[in-house]
Amino acid sequence: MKLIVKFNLVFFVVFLLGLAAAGYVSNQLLQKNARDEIVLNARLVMESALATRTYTSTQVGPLLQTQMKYSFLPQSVPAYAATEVFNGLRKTFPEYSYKEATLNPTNPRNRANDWEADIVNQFRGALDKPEVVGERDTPMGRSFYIARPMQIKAEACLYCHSTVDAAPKTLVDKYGPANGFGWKVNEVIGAQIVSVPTEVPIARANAAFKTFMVSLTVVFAFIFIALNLMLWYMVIRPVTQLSRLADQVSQGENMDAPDFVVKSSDEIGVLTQSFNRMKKSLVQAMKMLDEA
Amino acid sequence: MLVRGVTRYALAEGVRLQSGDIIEVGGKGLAQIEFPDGAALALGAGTRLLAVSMPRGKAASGNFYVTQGALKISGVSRDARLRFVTPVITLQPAEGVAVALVSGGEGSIFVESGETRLEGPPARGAATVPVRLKSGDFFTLKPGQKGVVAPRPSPAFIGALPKVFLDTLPSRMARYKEREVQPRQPEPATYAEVETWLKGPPDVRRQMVKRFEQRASDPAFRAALITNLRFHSEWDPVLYPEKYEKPEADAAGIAHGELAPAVPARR
Repeated sequence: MKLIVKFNLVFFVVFLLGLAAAGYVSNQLLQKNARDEIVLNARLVMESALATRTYTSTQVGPLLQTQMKYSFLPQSVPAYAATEVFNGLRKTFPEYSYKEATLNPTNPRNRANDWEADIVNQFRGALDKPEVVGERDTPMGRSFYIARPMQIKAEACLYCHSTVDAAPKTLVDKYGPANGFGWKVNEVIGAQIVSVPTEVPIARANAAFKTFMVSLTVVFAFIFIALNLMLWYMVIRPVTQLSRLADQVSQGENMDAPDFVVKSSDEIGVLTQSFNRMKKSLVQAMKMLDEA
Repeated sequence: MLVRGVTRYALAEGVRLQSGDIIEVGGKGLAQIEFPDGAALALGAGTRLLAVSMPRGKAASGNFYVTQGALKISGVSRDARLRFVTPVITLQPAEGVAVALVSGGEGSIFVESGETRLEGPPARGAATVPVRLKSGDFFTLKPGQKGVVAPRPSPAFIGALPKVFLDTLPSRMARYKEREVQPRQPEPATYAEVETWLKGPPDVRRQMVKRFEQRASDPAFRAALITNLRFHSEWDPVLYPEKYEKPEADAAGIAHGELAPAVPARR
């Protein structure tokens, strides 16, 4: 087997092993980053909703207190504000969603559907459960969700949600007397659920992986070509020529041929110089034998 | 616009209101009267108000006549003595916040908080309306109908109110506590500027005769008075004093202790 074949065989095996190892590690890393990004996005959305709720209840609500005596302004309700802010966000990111899924909501749009009701019931069954995370298939692709319980912790919440008679008249005017009443302190009445798409970050990770692997292959191919050219010009070609000359000299042919010229001072150059000296010595020895 | 005495001024922020002042809020304007105890009275666009009397004191007090417009009375304490007479109804906020709208013989009052007492209009008697309105009550009195109390204000009422009335009235009094602001651009009040009051209810009309008597020497004012004399006949003795001059013989009789005619003949 020729040297170059051996070399390329070893190189190819090393390349494949390297590519496989780098691919595995990078893929794991990219997928993990994508997962982390999904979770981070979900938490960011959740925290943003919570911040909107806090801002609404502490700053906007008090300003609208007087107006609420004339007509009910949902803008003063934290849940409404958080949902509306998120609806604005959804114009740019339609695959994201935020819902304050409630079993007995005042505003019908907050009513929990089947899978959301299951989550709410999980929280109702385990009051110390801080969070539920999971994935589900949606018409817009696979989605990751984080849910947190909505528990009535302050008596003040019951101002609007205890009984129809106790609730602000303007609220009853707007939403009617049928829904959103009968809540109790410490009761889990719903869950804040944030859903973020998993396909986009995963697709981005896959694209990054593909680009990385192609780039790595191109680099390997470039190295392969460069090494082969170097091997050919610096080793195989001079050694082949030297071998052919040595073969002729050993058979007494072409003894007058000029010295084999190699300009480099590397190992091949040293070998060539040694061969040229050996050839000269051989020619002189042959001459001395002929004269004797 | 502010009419003080017989002079009309452009109302500026910080001017101290006095008894007898007339305020008319322009088409897009808003005026607010603040009392030392924190009570405030906001007047919406188109409101015409006469401060009949404003006794000084710690608690808000005053007797006002409002011919039309929107009022918001807020921060009324139990010690306050405020009374707003309108052609439709008389409003006496007892405590808290009340909003009233008076227009075209129709009156609506919403009690944001606290309690408000109502009396019937002077001409109609007190029996036509309920006496007390509590927080959240909305009272409406339409021409030819009995007053109705509803548990919340009607959308039409809310729509007709100035937007700022839906919020808590902000106080600006602190800015002018140490500063005296004078009303600007004094001009003699024209007939048109005080016409509403000259043609007002009898007790107001009588006050106006005494107040604007000197303006009757102004030809334009006098001409307008004569043209509208049927609406305010109180001005007849001012415009035609010769008709009311007593004969010399009668005057002499009085001097000798005889009875004088009780009331001069009126046109």
